[in-house]
Amino acid sequence: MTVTLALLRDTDPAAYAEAADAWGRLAEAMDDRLDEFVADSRDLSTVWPTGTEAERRAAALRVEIANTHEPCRRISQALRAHGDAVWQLQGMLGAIVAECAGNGLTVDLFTATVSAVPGSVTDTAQAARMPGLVQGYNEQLRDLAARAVQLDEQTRAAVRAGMHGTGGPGAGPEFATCTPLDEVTGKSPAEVYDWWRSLSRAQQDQLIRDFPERIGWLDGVPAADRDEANRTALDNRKQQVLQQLQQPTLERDALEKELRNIHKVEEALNRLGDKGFLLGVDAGAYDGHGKLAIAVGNPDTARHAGVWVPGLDSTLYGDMDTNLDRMIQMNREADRLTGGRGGDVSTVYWLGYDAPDLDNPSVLSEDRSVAGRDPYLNFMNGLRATHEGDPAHLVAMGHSYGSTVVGEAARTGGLPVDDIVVAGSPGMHVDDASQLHGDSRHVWAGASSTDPVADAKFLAPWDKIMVGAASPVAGVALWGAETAADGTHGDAPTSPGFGANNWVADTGGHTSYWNQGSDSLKNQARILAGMYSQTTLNSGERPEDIR
Amino acid sequence: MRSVRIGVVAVALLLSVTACSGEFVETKSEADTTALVQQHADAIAKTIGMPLRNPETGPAPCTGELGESSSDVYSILGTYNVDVPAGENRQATVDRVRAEWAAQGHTVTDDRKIGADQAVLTADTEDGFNLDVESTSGSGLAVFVHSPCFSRP
Repeated sequence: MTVTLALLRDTDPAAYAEAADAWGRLAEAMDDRLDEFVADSRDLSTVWPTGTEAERRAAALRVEIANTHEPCRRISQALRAHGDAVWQLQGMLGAIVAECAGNGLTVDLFTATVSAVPGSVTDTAQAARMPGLVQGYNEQLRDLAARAVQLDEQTRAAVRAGMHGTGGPGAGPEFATCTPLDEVTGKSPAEVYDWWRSLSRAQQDQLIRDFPERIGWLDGVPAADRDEANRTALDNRKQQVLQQLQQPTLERDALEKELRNIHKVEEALNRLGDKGFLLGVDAGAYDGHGKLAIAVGNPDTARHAGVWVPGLDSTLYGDMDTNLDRMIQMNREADRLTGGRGGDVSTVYWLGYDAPDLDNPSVLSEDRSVAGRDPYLNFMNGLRATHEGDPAHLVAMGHSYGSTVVGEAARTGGLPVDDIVVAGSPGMHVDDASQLHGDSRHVWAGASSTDPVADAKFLAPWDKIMVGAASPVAGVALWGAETAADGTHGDAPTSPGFGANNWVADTGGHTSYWNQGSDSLKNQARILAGMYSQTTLNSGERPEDIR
Repeated sequence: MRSVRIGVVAVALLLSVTACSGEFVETKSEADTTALVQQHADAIAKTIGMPLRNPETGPAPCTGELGESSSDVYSILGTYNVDVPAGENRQATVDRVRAEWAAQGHTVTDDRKIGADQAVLTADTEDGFNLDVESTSGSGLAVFVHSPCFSRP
């Protein structure tokens, strides 16, 4: 079939996404069956010592299943990248056609040429401009057609390679020992990713099975594999805790707290279903506060991924429901704005640091922000490394004290994000947006007019603590503590002169930025979807939309 | 025990009074609210003249200004995509939606045209729903229908 612009126009990119999903499911199913088969056939030689032929065939089948997984996954990746590219090219084609129509030109999508609409040239000036316009649009269309042809060839080659693949680097036996995991200690997420890709599927499965806690938190391992490892780790830990609780123990309170956290993570995963990806979990971390990274949607296949850091007093158990709701609502709003296919957006709830507490002055210090900096940097660099196809639109997001973690990470110059979005920030440890991102038009901050956290530096910090502590309403105490942090964290990014885009927050207080139907939520979702032009701003300058 | 019960009732009453809007919330089942959300979305699709795509409806939380919430108080969010009729500029499509909303008595809260082909149009309906039609990064439109907060029966 000849690839023309007419074919490009009529192609349904969602069909490729669906096919990619189907190949992805097949790959996962092969992986699951391999696990089951390995478990079922492991003791074959013990129960049937003379069955050498059966043992040989079982071993061969193990390799065959393992070898099939990788080509299926690569075909899935190729089809997804193809659908995304078609969608982008269609956007470009639509823009050219619309422009041509505005200039009195009609486009022949079969020949990739333009010509004047009869009667559209009404004056000599327009007639003089017409040849240049025609030539310019013809060049753009030819370029577009060439890109479509090239895309077709690339995808065809990738699919053929997968269909004929024997597993490539995915083939091979399991490790004879477990020492290879030590090879990646101290490596960057990109190096970890390269190492992971160099392993056979059987080797990857072995590591997930034997070291689920380490693989689960290993930045540079793809999200689907981290998810599998973390679910295994969570289940293993649950069984351990249950067993320990059966025995006399001096750590009963801590164990019961950890078990409660584990149940909360299980609830969250059940709620998210297929959209849930557990990218890190340690239910007993930080004296029982817990440590967690959970995604709504696969960040490795989404075109837009936002990684959100919560603020003061966030704990795994206490804030899971509220914070997960925020991620779900943000995801739903942003995903529809992309309009291409479901799953365009991933929102990650990243509680990978020990958030400050209400019962001590940690919120007034930079310590927790600084401690969260490197884990957040590594996590974000991991997502950059593991993303399939073209680089994703990666967004750092933070609320309240969480924005200080984002600020600490961004000020290093090593945070690999396209946009930074914060809400109710007390300050980001810098004086100017340009210290957070090379293009300050991509730093976005919003604060409600009744949110004292972003606008209270004129009061002495301890005055506010006292006011908060004296109030019977917990929220006021929280506000008091948060506002007191202003002196430590610098000017809020919503302050005049900071240089960030100040998005309109029409919600009240400090904790309502995700309210349904609010501009606060819509503006954050628009930025996450790359639809900058549709944001509402109090001040600032929008960059070009992402197409 | 009695004082605990009184406390629980007081908190529940506070939430039903303050959640979302600062007013008492009506009692309505999720199914009934979802049906109303769908009706609003269907009306928009009918005005545009194209079917809804990627439909998703589900509960969303209601939060008061102090961050208070209750598992009994909820709202429903419906999200959809819709293509525009062949050859029609999206701003022209949104113009038709605006005219229909005006005829229905909805209160337009945001009305913007961006560039040559993008638009944002939001409105509140008399029954408290928030409607939002805006351009996607593709060639179509996104439709959002947010219900007001209700209390589960």
